[in-house]
Amino acid sequence: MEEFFNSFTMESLRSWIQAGFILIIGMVAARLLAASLYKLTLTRMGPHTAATLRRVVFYLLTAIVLMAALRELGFSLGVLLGAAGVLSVALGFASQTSASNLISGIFLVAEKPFEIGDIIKVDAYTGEVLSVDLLSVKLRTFDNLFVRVPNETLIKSEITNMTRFPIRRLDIQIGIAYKEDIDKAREVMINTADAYPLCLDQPRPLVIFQGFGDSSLNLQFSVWATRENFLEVRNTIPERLRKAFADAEIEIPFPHRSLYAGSETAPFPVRVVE
Amino acid sequence: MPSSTHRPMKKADRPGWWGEFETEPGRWSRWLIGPMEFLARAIDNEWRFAWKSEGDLLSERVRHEKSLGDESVNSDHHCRRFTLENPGIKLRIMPRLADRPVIVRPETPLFLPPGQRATLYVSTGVWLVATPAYTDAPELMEIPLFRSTDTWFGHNTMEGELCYASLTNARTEVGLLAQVPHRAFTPIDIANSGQDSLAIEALRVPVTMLSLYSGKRGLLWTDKISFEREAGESAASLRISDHEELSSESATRLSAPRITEQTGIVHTFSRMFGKGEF
Repeated sequence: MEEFFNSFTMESLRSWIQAGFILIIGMVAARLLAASLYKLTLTRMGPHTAATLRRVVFYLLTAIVLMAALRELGFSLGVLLGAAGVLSVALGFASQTSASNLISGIFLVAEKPFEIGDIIKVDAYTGEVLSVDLLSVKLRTFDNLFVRVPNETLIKSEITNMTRFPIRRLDIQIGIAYKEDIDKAREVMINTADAYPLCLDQPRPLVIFQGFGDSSLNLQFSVWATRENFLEVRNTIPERLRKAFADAEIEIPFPHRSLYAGSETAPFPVRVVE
Repeated sequence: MPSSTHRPMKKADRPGWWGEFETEPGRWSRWLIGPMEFLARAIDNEWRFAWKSEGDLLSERVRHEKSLGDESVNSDHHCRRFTLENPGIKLRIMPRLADRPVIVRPETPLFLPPGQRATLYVSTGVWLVATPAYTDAPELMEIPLFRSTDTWFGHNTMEGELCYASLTNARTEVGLLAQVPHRAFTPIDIANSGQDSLAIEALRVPVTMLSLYSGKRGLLWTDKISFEREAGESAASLRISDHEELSSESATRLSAPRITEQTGIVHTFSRMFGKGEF
C-alpha cells in the first residue's frame, strides 16, 4: 500500500493531469469539429451522408485523443494495440449480435438503400427514417411509433423505399359487368384520370384487362401521381371512378353465384314477384 | 346587388383584367376572369380572399364587380385571410406565369426536316397575384386561374421534372389559338440544323424563365423562345428574346421571370423535346 502511494510522485501526478486535459479538451474539440463538419456538409451532401461523416470523424478523433492521453500516462501504443486485438477477439465472441449489427451498419452505409427522411417499408413496419446508427436504424411509423430496427435485420430483409423516385403508380382493381363494353369503360376511366389535375398526364393512365372473373370482367386501372400527392389520389380516384361509372351507366357488379342442383334433383322452385 | 358593373368590352378596345382596384371596406369585390371567380374584401386589419375555378377553360369572360354582400361567398369557395397593419382598400391584381415549365403538344406529331425553321405558338395558363396597392406592400397570394394537370417530363420514371400539361395544342399560326385574355402566348422558333428530321411530339416551355407582357387587345404575351438543334443530336441552344408583338407602344412588362438564367445557355436536347413514352 505504501509502495502504491509512493509511486504517486509529483511527476506522475502531472502526467495524469495532462492526460486529463488532453482527454477533456480533445473530446470537446472532436465534438465541435464533428458538429461543424455536419453543418458544412448538410446542405451539399444531405442529412444522411453528413450524419455518417460526422460520426466517422468523431470516432476517429476520439480514438486519437484516447491514444494521446494513454501515451501521456506512459502506456506503450504497441502494447495497447496488441491488448486491443486480444480484447476485440474476446469481445467479438461475447457480443456476436452487436458485431454483426455493426458490420451490417457499415454495409448499409456503403450500399445506401435509403437516407434519413426517406419512407421505407421493412417487414411489417412502414415509416420515416429518423437516423441510421451503428447498430440500428430508427423509424417513425405513420401512427407515430418509434421503431428500432437492428441493422442485421435490414441487411437480411427486403427493404422497399417508397420515396426513392419522385413519382409512383397507383393500381386499382375494378370489375365491370359482363354485359358492359370494355372500350367504353376504358374511355370513362381515362377521362376520369384526365379530369383530375393530380393524376399525371404523362406517363399516361393505363387500363389493363386482367381476365374473366367469376362475376365481372376484371380490369386494372393504373394512374401516376407524385409521391406527395399519392395518398390524396389513392383516396380520391375510387370515388371519382364510381361516380363516372354511375354517370355512364356502367355496372360494377356484386359477386354472383350460380347454383347447380344436378340433373337428378328437382329444379329449384322459382317464384316471380313484382 | 352590385353597385357598379363593368361590362365586357369589344375585343378591339378591351383592356387587361389586371391593375389596381379600389374596394369598398367590408364589401366583397369580384373578378371573373375566364374560369376563375376571385373575390376580395378589406375588413378591419385584414384582407379576405375567396376563389373557385371551374367551367370552360377557354371562357372569354372578364368582369369586375364591386360592393357585393356575404351571399357571394359559399362553401364551394376556397378561402384565405391575411392580417396586416395597414391593409388599405386598394388591391393590385396582376398576372404571372406558372411556377413550373409547361408541356405543350402539337395536335399531331410534327416533323421539321433538316435545314428548316418553323415558328410554333403556344398558350399557357397564367396565375393571379394579389397585393395591396401601396408602396412596399407584401405580396399576399398567387393562384392559378385554372389548375393545370401535372405531368412528368423525362426519359424515364426515375429521372425527370414535374411540369404542367397544357390542355391546348401548339399551333403554327397564332390565330388558331383561342384569343382569351387569361392565357399567355409564347412564340417558339425552332431551327433544325441536324442531319435528320426533328420530331416534335412534346415541347417543354420554360415559362419560369420568361417575362410576361401585356399586348394588343388585352392579350398576354411572353418573351420569344428560339431553339436551335445543332448538328450533334445531344446539344441544342435555347435563347430568350423579345419579338414584334412586344414592340408596340401598349406593350408593358407585367411580371419578371421567376428564375433568372442567362440567355444563350446550352441545354441538352432532351430537355426541350420529349417523346412522352415510358
